[in-house]
Amino acid sequence: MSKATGEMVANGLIQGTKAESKQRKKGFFFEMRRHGALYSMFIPGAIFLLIFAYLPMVGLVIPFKYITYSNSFWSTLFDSEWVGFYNFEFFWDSPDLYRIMRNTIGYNVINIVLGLVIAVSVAIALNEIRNRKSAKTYQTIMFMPYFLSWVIVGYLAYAFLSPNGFINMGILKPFGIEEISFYTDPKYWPFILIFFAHWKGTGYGVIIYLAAIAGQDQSLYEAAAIDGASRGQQIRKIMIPLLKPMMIILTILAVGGIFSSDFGLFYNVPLNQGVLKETTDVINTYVYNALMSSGDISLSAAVGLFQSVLGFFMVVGVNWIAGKIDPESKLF
Amino acid sequence: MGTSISRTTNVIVNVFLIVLVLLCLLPIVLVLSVSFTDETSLLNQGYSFFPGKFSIEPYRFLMETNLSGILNAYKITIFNTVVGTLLTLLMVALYAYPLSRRDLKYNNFFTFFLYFTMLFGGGMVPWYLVCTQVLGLKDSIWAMILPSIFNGFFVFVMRTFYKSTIPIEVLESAKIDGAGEYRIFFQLVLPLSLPAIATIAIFTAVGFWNDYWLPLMLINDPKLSNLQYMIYRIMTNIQAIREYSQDASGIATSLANAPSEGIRMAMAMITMGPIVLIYPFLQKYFVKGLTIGAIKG
Amino acid sequence: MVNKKARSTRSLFFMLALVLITSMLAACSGGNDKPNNSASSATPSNTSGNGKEDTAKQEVDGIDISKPVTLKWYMMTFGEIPADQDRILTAINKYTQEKLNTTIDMEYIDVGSWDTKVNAMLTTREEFDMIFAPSWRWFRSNAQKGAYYEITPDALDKYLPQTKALFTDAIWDSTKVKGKYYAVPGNKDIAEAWGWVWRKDIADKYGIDMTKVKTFQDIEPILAKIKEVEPDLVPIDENQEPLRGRTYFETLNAGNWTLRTDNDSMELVKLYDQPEALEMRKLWYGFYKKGFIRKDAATKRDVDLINTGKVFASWMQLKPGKDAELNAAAKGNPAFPKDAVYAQNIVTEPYITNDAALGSSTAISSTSKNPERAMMFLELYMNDKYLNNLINFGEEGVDYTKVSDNRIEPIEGKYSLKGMNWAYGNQFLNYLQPGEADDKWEQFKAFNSSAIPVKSLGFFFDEEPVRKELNALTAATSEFAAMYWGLLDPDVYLPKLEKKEKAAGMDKVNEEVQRQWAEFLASKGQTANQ
Repeated sequence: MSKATGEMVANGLIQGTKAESKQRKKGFFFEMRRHGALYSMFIPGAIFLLIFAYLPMVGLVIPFKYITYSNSFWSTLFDSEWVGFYNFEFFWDSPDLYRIMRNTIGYNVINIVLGLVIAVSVAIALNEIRNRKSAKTYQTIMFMPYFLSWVIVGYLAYAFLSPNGFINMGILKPFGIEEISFYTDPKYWPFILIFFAHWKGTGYGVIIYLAAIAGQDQSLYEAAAIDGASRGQQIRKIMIPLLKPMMIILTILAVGGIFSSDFGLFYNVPLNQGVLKETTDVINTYVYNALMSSGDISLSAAVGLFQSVLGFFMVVGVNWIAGKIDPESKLF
Repeated sequence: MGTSISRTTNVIVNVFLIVLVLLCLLPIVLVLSVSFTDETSLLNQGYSFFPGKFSIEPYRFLMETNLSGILNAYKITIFNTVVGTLLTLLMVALYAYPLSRRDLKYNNFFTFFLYFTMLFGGGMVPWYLVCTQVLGLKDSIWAMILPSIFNGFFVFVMRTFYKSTIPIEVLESAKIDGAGEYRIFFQLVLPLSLPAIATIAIFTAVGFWNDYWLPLMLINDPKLSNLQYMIYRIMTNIQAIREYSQDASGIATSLANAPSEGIRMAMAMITMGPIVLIYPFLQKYFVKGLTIGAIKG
Repeated sequence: MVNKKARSTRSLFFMLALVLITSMLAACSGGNDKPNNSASSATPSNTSGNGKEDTAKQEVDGIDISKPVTLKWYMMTFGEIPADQDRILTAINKYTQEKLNTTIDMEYIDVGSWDTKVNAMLTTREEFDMIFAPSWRWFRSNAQKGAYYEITPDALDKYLPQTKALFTDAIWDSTKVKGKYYAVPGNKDIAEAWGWVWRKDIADKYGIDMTKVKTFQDIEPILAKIKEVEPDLVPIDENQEPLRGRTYFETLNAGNWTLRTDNDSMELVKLYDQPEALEMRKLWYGFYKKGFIRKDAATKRDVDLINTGKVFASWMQLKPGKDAELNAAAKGNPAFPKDAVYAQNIVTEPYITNDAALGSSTAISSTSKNPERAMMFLELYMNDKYLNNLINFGEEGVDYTKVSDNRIEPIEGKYSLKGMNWAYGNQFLNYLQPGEADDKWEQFKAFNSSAIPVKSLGFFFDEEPVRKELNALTAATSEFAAMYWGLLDPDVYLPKLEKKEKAAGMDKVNEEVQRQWAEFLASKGQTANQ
């Protein structure tokens, strides 16, 4: 084989024969010499992670301790009493456990699926419409809700849903329909909360998919058009499959958070009404309410750890599944 | 042209998008309307799309009593956003690139090294310790920037983008020409990734603009407060006073001085202001066909 | 191969790399220069003039203060920090430097951010000297966990003698946590009393005599009348505490247990087994159903009825002159009707609770490097009239004009802690403000001394043994919060609440309460049935 090809094999750019790949397996130093420059690109990020993420991980003992204050943070951590899983028990033994798990996971699964469908559809729609100025305007406006804090969204929701709000006064009353007391009836809230989650978040996802579409090789479409494919066929057979890696990675990442929720949404929009808890209480709001009685950080730390561990297992599972669909898109 | 949708489809899609746009716009218009409503009218009639009694009082109040505070917060927010975004772009783009290279043996390790931190953390308190006592960041403007300049989510988005968009041939030919990795990165890979960079720039900029968490934890000096933290303080103070006033009766009188709803909405509009325009600003990098141009050139 | 775009991108990113490096350097050096966490640095930050250090006091009352010290003090703010705070701090420091060779580094933390920030500060053992530590912000649990410096009885005598004399022994005892002192109490209206506040102008208009109202049953017909004749006015404010005020029961903060106040018995009884409690809840719910409480009370708690004059009557905790305070505060609100005026009537006997003296108390951090100097400062703060009024009202002539010996007229737009005076040390030292009675402090003193201590004075339920159950209970029962505001039907929801409580471990809590109570009684030489 030629020198150039040999180099390319060594660089992993093309597959060589078995004999050639044996040479690559020479180990650590060989790898460093070959790709030192590339590995050096990891350094800034790695330093950041070591300082801001790994160093604080000493705090992973907090869920297992009853924190009492000593002279320094380190002695506080080490001298505090070890209580094993005690801090988890208020959560595990809770009479509401089933409800909050069901709500948390339920909302997340629906939102992940719905989010994917809506974001991709809207991104494609924006990409396709002929007037670029309109597309730009629509996109900008759709991004606006993202800037409002959930507290404000809570006020806005109230303006629509209250007994004197727009829905009751402006829609139901003129049609002679009986007024709905949204803030005392749990059954409407899954729809309300899902609506707001996407109202606020869609703009975000759309941008990612638009960028992905923009990065696609246009010659593929032109070739397909020459072969007689309609635009619809082009979208279905080229655009969407090309978006698969992005869809997969975003889903995997979302699944890692399947046991957590956007606290702001679930706490503020239902205005913390107790009677709605059947459908609005999630793990994060539950823990927040428990903290009201003690201000004990070990509690939230314990539940947070629980959420992370479960999320981790979910990701490993979904990652494995993703590997079966498209090995290139695996997270790790 | 065979790569566009038909006229009829165009109309349908436009209608579909307009409906969505209205859904997004209406509540914003509501905020705007409330911010221009007279307080008594707000109390008596509640929120309305057409101000019961038009009034610029909320804005006037903010301008008069707190103009310097707001301008200062704008300055801080803009600085944080610009510097933070640039730094983040560099950090993220750099880490993501080697991750996207299939030929790297220890790739998986670094992927996992990053991903682990996205799921597991020691918690807010040890992080606070690192920021304040190890790095000495309390009450410094860098406190609002440095803890956020690296983000795993963006790294993975970037990695996926590199993988699916950068053709092997480009890298190949560069290698044949004898180019080093850094040169390839800065001169080839990045220009080809402009849509992704623009995307991450938007998200990061918005993240920094909207952030109230870092100021909440690390900033005490009101002169260093950014816009979002300003409004966060106002909102949470009112809530807290309401909550605690049963136990600490003296507090309730402080509510008298609290900003009314109109003022809070005006604050929200002011906070939202400029950043909404970031998408139009960066939108030109989303233009299709960039890839082709680079390769052919 | 290399096109123009790539070249500019490349230089852009090299520039970014440069920014990154310089910013890291800046951050590190910035962090090291600033004495962020040095609570007590050796050099005073605000020395008033040249040569002053030579004449600085070397000792006070035999205590050595030759070493200059800076004390870091965290105080709570409820809104924006008053204008010109810097100038006042300089004046304060001039004074403390002169008197105690001490300067104060004062920082404000917003009430809304308080828990988050303070929790982090305490757990990471941040160095500071003093902090606002009232009972309603985790004072006792923090003290128990070791966050604060223990003020020994000897230290109290040595460094805080005048402050000690400000309060009776019983009151000092009520501030103890596990038998130790951890806080310097705030001196103000210590006694607790409840009563009615109402719109005097409306009452006069219809000839309603509110002073005759002694019970909630009494007010019902009045509310009905108001609803009839003044449809735009909410008859009564929703209220979480109709059972407070010690009319029948004492608040114990221990599960659902309470003590009856109409007998001498020290036996704990369950609140909802008492007929009066149930009746009260039903009565209050009746108010809601009849429309006396606003329909959207559950969701609209953010809109303040009192300050906007939208409510006729409210049951609240009172002190002498509270109505004047409310009027003064409400006048500033544009929505408050011009001729509206509040009047008050205290209905219950004033009483002293465990938390009486801890409404605005200050604690010294266990991470403080100069607790003795902190105590000396607190002694000055609690007893020095000049310092107190400097902090509260600013500098004479600049922020206020003196109208008479003890009365001032604030100057508009200048520094003032109006409305927050209660949070600062010894309110009895304050000058009188416009609208306040001349004998306001005498009234307060009479109010305080006429108060009777609650039967359970000195009893603290130690939550630690059952903290798991309590957390579960809080979370599980938060669903029923609206019932305490009178917005849910007790007949329907009380049974649900009880069921939930049982499932969350209420029985264990009950046992623990009874056990601790028996211990408490034994220590006082009493038994449950006197």
